[in-house]
Amino acid sequence: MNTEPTRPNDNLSSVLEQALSDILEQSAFMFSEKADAPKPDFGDEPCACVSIRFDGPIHGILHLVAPSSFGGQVAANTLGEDSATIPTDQAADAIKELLNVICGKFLELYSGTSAIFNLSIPTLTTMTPAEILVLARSPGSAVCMVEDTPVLVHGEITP
Amino acid sequence: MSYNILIVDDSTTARLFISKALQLSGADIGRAIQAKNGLEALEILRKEWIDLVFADINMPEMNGIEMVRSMRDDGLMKTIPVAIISTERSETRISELKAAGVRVFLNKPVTPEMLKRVVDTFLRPDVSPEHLKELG
Repeated sequence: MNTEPTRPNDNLSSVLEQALSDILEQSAFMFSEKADAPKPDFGDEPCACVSIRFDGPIHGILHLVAPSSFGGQVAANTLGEDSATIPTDQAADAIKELLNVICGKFLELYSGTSAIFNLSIPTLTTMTPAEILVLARSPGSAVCMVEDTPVLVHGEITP
Repeated sequence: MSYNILIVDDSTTARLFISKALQLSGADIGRAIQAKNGLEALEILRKEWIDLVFADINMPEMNGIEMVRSMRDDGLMKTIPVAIISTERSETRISELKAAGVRVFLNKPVTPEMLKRVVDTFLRPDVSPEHLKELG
């Protein structure tokens, strides 16, 4: 297992991208690749934004931003159901649980397995296209395509 | 003989997935009862016959660590095996949980095969516990 010491703000976006890819594949059988387009198209509607805080030897927050339909796709794939049958509250729950699991994997990849971290309960808000653009251009962000759906992951570390 | 399982997680998706995966695993499951947090789980444990608990750690109101400690302090609940299914990867915390009585620790996401091995090991006396070691 990786027991490397913490390394704040080093390779943050690539570690997040790896955590997203690993967890989506293992839990929802969905495949993720880094977006080629310089300006990913998240559409004109507000997107879902899930956030989770972590507190340990390093502190910080992770965000996952995706079109509102993404939670339904994740729930459907995880549970082996048709996405049209997934209720809105379950879609919201699925995307929150996804970021919770990604956060665990991210902390293992980023900080090793010796430190203890406390995670917050994930929260769900919305983000406008303009806000997404600002976040996508910020350090610590990675935009991936998950089966034609753009997904933005963003992390901030406070030593 | 079928066994009653209690699934404790604040995520509906996680509870449904574990419930479905247990049914798919071929394990002999009677009822798969669900609770949203440790407090709800303790209420159910006082009223229902439960053979095995699968619990998350990070939950509102009462987390999985507090739930395990409450179970260990209760004469009737302390013998019920608990398997933690969590995003937790800290070796220190996993050791603490095992010292508090948690029998096995699984990282999310889990597979039906992993769940079946846990069920078989705790609830089927004909199955050796040796194969649990590789689950952690």
